[in-house]
Amino acid sequence: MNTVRRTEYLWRQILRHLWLFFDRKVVAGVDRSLVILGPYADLTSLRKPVIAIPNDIPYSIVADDAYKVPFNGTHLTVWNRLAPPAGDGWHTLPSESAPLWYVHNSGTHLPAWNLFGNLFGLLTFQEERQLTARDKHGRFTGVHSPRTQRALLEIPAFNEAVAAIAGACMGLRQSGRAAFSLDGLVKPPVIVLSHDCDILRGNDGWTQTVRAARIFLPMLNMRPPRLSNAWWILRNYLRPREYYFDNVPGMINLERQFGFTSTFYILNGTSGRFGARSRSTILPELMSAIPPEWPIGIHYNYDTFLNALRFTQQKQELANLSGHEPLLGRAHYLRFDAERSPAFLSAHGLRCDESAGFSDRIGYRCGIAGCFQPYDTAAESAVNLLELPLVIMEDTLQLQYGDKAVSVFEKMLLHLGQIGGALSLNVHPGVFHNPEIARMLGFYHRLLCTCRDCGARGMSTGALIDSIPPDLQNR
Amino acid sequence: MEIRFASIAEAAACNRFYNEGHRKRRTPAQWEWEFVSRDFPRQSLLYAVAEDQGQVIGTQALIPVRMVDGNGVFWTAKSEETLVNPAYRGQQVFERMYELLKQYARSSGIRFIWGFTPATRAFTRIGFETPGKTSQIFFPFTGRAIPALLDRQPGGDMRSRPGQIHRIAYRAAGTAAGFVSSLKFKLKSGAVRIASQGDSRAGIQFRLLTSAPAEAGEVCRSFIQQWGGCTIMRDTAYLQWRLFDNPYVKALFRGAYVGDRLCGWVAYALGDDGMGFLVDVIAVDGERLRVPAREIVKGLLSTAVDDLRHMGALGIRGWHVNNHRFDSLVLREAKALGFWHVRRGHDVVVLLVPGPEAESGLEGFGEWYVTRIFTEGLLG
Repeated sequence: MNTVRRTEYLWRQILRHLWLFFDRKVVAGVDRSLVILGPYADLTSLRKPVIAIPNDIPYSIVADDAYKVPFNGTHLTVWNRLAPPAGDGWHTLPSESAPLWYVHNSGTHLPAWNLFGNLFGLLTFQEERQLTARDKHGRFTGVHSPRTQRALLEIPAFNEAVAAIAGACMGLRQSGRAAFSLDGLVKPPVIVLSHDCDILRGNDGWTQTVRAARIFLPMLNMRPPRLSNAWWILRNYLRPREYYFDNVPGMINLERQFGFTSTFYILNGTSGRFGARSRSTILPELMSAIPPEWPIGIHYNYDTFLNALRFTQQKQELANLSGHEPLLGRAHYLRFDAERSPAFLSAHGLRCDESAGFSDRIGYRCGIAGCFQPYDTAAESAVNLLELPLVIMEDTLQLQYGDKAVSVFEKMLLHLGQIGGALSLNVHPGVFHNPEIARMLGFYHRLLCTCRDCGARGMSTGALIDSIPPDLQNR
Repeated sequence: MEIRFASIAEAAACNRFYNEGHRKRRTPAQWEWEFVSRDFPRQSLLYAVAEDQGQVIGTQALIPVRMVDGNGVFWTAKSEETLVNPAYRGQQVFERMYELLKQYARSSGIRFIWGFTPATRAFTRIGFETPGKTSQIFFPFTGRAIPALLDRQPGGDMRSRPGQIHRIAYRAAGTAAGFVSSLKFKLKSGAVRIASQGDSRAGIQFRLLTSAPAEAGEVCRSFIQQWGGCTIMRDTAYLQWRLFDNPYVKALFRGAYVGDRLCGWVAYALGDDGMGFLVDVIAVDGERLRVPAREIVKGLLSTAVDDLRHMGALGIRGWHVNNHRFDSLVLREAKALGFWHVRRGHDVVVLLVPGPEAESGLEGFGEWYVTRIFTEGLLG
């Protein structure tokens, strides 16, 4: 384990995050003269006004001692609490029952939780490296995460820790002690919209077969057949694009209304139940419907997962169709291997990936609402790729929270408005406005209204990563 | 109690009063967009406040708007932000705020003040007239469109048994009306179904624009020449402010081009309640290619219907207000495309401001061409 490299890696992620989501005063105010990362024993003996973050405390994925600390009009949730340092002259901020900092009379501030360990552990997928449970698609899902039982999956721990550091630095500069307010220093939250274009026609064999099965399945439980499915079969047989392909211009126009842009991830290549449901012949028309300045990315097909040959073939086909090499991507079914996928995607020329989300839950798989570089623990270096973990899939949010879905979404955005960050949201064209899925009608519109009301900035993935200055781009 | 003009520095206090009074979450930026005039040559904020013991207890604002008629362009003002703390009712707060605004309007060349309100009494008491009422053109897409039109959403009395019966009735009516509308639309719009970017059989192109067209003012003047009457002067700066820079909803704007000449436009948006709104329609004859305005209107309405349907709208609402020749044309074409005419809306209130310019060029209200672009802009 190379602690020096890991420390430099984490610091770089923090700087990039600050640059994206905080005022320039904060960017200038947080530096290594004020934030010192090192061994616990050394830092507890420091006697000067600095933020001292231990980088050698073992990390536990269990997260069973979480508590909340009031901060900047919201609450920070921290876990893996540290014991107060030994010796005299230490007190807690803001309170003994819920401390964020241990502060020495000399001004040294020590985080009251394993800040370095938690952040490094989350950004390097320690949960899924340590736990072997996977679903039938080989995915580490939300239900497998220890944070799910503790209701911590929707805590953007990285963002909260960076906000705490920012507040501490600004406070130290102004008054010699950590501040718990960031008035006017946090940029409005960013909403990163994207669309996985996997079903563009509603009449493919698999979709129609599933509908046919749904007619009769209730009869197994002595319930009447669901005849409405026969109508959907007929409707999409006669008008295959209705509520699928035809929704694409509607989504684009809806986003335009709010001044937002989005990324379209296009699935091409092998067809089948888990593959592309529509043939690639429809894709040029799809691409011409997308405004030229909006990014188009690749939706990695199911069978390209860690398969170099198939991945290259799919990418090449998409490049031929679109006229340019896709640099952004997300995996179909969110198939993502924490250890191998980042390096694989980087080796195949991807610049940014949005696959590291959960398929069964909304939440922060890596504890971050924003982007970061994955870390190769074997090579002890950052991977030349930006990961922007998917936080919310529209259907998952609705299924998980039902009538409260919009208010949960609003709370998440408002929280990010207080601590800085970017929320990524994926909406499928076939789900956006489709009477077959009645519970989703108008849902995306309500989410976009909420984004506007929360003052969110709408940025596409491409625009977000392009806004990173060159010295903070990939290594 | 003090009645005076507010300053921009008081935006937060005025906005807070509004948000508390209406249970809204308007931001200071939205307040500024609405009330800080971009081009009114004199005072930039026509916003009266009533203050008592340091607290805002009443607000009344005017938004300066230029209108155009056969004699040229002149200033008018839209009445907005009428709100008085209920504890101060009966103390002439509204009247006193308006007196301040009227004095200013008189001295600064504003010819009349207008607005839309369900509560006309307060306005008629201070000299406003109610020359007309808005009505709706309405295209339902789903069964939920009629409850949305009538502002009867599920909840409250709709959960009781009579409420449920009403809901079922509304939905059934909406579904039936939607079916008829769709059928008419399919039959009638076919002749002008025009690809948004491509050439049409009628020689019209409908282009989605992302900023206000430079020729907007010229089109607006041509509109008055052709159709007569009086309407808001929709020049480039006005459209940019009102539609493209609107912080609530940026209405989609399709320009109708005959050859390279802009001959009209339609602006439409999906409101927060899921209903589509026709914000503005304007057209003049495309003379060079002999395309009548009627064809352009039909094409504009058709593209709006297509786009709003794909955006997930429950239905579409637009205004029909009076018998202005173009308003009548829009109503005719809309009905042919499957819209229904629903006589439901708010009263229009207008106050002639006495002054040196008040008499000249002012048409009767029946000659005004009024669309939803006359509204505050919260729904596009």
